[in-house]
Amino acid sequence: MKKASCAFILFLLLAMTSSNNANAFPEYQAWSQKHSKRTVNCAMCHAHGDGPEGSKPGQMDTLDADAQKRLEVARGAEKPGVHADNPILNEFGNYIVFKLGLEQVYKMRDDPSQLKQALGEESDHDGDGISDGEEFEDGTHPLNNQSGAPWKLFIQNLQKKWVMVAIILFIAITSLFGFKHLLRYSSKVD
Amino acid sequence: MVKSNFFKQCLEFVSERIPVEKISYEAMVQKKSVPHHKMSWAYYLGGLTLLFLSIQFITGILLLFYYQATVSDAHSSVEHITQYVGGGDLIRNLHAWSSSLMILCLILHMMTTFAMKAFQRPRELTWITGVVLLLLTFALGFSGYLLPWHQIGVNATKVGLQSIELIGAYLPGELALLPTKIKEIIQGDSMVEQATLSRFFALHVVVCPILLLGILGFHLFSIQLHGMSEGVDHPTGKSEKFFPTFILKDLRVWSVVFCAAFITALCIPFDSFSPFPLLAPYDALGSTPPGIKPEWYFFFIYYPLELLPFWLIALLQNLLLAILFLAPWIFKNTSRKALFLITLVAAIYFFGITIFGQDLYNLIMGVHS
Amino acid sequence: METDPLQTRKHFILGFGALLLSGLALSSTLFAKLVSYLSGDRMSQIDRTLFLKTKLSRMDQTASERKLELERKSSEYIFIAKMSDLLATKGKYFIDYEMRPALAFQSSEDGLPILISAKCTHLGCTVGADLDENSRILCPCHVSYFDIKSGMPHAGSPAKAPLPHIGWVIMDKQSKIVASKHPKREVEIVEKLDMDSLDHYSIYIAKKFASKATGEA
Repeated sequence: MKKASCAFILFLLLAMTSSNNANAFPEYQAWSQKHSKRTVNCAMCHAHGDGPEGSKPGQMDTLDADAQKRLEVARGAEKPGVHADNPILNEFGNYIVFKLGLEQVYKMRDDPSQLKQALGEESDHDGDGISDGEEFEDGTHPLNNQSGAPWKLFIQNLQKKWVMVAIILFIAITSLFGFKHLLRYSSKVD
Repeated sequence: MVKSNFFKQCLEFVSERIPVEKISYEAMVQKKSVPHHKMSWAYYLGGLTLLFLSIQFITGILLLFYYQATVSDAHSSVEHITQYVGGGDLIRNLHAWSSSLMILCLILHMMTTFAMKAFQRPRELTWITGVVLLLLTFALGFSGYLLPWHQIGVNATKVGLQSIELIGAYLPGELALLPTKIKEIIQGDSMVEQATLSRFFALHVVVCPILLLGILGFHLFSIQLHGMSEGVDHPTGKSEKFFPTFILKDLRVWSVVFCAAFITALCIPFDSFSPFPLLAPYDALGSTPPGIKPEWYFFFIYYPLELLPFWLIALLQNLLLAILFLAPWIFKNTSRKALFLITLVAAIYFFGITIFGQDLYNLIMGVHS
Repeated sequence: METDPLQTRKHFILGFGALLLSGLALSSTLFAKLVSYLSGDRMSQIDRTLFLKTKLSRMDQTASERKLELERKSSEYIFIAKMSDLLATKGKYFIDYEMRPALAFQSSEDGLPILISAKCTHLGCTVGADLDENSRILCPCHVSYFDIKSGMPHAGSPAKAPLPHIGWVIMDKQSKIVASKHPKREVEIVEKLDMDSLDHYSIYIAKKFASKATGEA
């Protein structure tokens, strides 16, 4: 009897974890949205904006045999370090699984604010200068370098393109200087 | 007798508004002067609009080299420009920033012109062409919003066009179907589809720019013919020569503003102000993401549409248009002080609703739900 | 005014020189940008492959939309879902005969399908698929809640007209019609459905029930 109930509980637990792995983790989306006050959808980590369930590209119903295989591998990535190419996730989603492992992702649902620290400063998939974790907090897309908190992007780009900015500032200042003197000249010849 | 009088009046009207005898290098360039007073800064706004328009033309032509106006390729071609073509992000962002700045300058230009009563005789036609130019610019903004074929653009266009259909509810009998018909003619289809994209593309890159250039030509020409309007009740008597002094000052403003716009476009992607789900390609079969909005310069009509009954907005909108077109006659005897107050109220409304519209909407809708 | 010709000339030279310099700097900067823009994309092999994949998937999407359109022009019945795949709390999107989005639910009362248009009657946005606790779906654009049973929007919502229902037929494995519903009439049951083996039944929309055929807008 005891054995049976143990087995039943184990079965329930297994069913729970597997179904949780199959589903998305909307807690992260909800947190990002609340924290940033921006609209965020599943496309931050998933291949499709409406999430993994459905019959559109990047969703469960459209996976071919190869993609199904990759999905199975990805679902087994309990510990960090597995390069799982999950077809329903995008590059950022796959990176989270690689970095943390599903077990950790599952645990962190209760407090998604830890994600930024867990991902670290160095990962910046779109190369816009704002780390993936920070983009998660800001509710902007970690894979789109045109998406970011405007002010942060401004600072980043200013540093990145400072030569161009300096040239433009030089142009502005010399032209101001030039106009000043030409205006003086024109007032004198009048 | 009456008839010939009418024709004579027509001729007199035109000849006073378009004084061809003034067409001379001397009158239009050498002798033209710009009054100097505390509102003189307003004389730069029209020129700035022209600067941004030129940026729009140049960057627009460059974008045309890569853009593909089909529903399957439009979004990825825009992505291609911003992500992979050298300097493509700069060109696209400059186009987007400059369009917003152009409309900002245009609205300020119109407001100051109104407040300074620069529309009065004999400059009525200059004013009216200005209003037409404003409408054309709005049409360019509206049609350009659809071209990247992203969620926000297509859905906002759908909502915008659908509001034409709402007029039908207030029309009797067979006429009630007319707005739907008009909508479908604009759309080219029963839905916002490839036909709509092709039409908007043609409007955005050919029809509107050609009309704009023609009317702008007349607008500038008549400004040169009539010279600058005095603009204040008590002229200071001081003025500066249009050439070279004012031109030099104008160019000085241009160079600073251009550099500022260039650095802004270089460093701040225009898209960064939109939430990313709205930047994804339009999905005809999926759900509409929340947060669909038109560009900021349509907020002054968008938020009232959200909050007030439609017939009221339609009425007010037509009233506003009529007032704008007939301003030279309606406000013929209005003092500058009164015009200034009217402009102030309009400006507070326009910028207030543009900046705080969403808060106002949340406040009111929050009470409802 | 006193004019010192030397001073005047100095201003001219300084002004003209500075403008020439800034003009040169500006035009060479812009020219460099222009050349880099016109010389096309700079994509790595990986980027190009990924980008082509994206382009292809967008074309697939367009192609599938065109296919849907063709199917609606040519077929009398269009498959929506298996009975067993419908949920009572989350709708399944499909495209009706007019190429408009619609949603399919399972009724929580009798287990039969509820097919309802998802094109908001206010400004045409696509209504969301999730049912709230009052069995209503939400149009996100201007916050209209629609009751899926009646189609009616909630009181005071921006949408005034109800979402129209869509007629359906249920066929069994032998493609025999076992039940059908005209959008305006009651359900017609031809043969009693076996509610325990719902995967034997499929739901279709029918051309004869399309709004053009029934004379609705």
